Amino acid sequence: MGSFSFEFLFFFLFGLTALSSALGVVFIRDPVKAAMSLIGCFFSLAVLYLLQAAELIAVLEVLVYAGAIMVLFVFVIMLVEHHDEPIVKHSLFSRVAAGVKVGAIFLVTVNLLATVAGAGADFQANITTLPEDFGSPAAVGRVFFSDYLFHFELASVLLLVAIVGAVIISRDEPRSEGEGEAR
Amino acid sequence: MSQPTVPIVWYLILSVALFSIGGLGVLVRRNAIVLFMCVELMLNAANLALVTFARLHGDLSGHIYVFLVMAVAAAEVSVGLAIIIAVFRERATINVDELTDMSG
Repeated sequence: MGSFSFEFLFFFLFGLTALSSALGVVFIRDPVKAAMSLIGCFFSLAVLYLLQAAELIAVLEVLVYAGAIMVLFVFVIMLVEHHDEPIVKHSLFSRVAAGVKVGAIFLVTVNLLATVAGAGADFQANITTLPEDFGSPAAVGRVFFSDYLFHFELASVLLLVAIVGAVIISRDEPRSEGEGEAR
Repeated sequence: MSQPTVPIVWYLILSVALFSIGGLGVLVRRNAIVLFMCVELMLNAANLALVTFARLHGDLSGHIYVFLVMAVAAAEVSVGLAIIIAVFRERATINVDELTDMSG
């Protein structure tokens, strides 16, 4: 029972951090500060992954999301000169409508979860005892390169296409002027 | 190995909450970059649910899908941000309310 309070403590600590920094992303006006808040959210999610024995995923979360992807975001924020969003753009009605929609989605899903948890005996009782190396890079890699090899190759092709596409799209093109003159 | 003690449902509720917050952000924010960040938030909420179910069933397939979601997210972000830069170069704005050329 030693780990009992431990896991609870970490779940609440980092769950609340994740929630509050997610709210920060939505409600902080300055995009740079919103990005920093999102990084905080990714770090606390990484801890939540660790709590669930997903070591490789936790490391990837920090490396890929908090590292690579957010650096990309911050760079683009830097490139795109931002003026703060105008404060009153939406009518009160549309704000309330957005809140009601999202709240409805949340409530319906939680209700669904509660129904499933109530009907399907006990969620908790179904938890299988995990093998010692569950979620370790070796274990994930073994599954990846046997059952999901095709998906892995697809992902690599997708990333290659995305890189080429990003370069072509964001290229500073004298092309459009040249073509315009040619026609 | 000790059994997990925090109820599975709590993780799922946290995941739904994060997803809803991300959805709220997509609806209320008008800066295209921040919209993208909110989409990332929603993807991460889905990842949390996948990891939770992976632990529930003791099946590593969930982790594989999280990996693939990350790969797709990276591809999506690189292309999306390139589009944002291209649009900004053309129009000098990334406010999605002013980018209405393709709406009917």
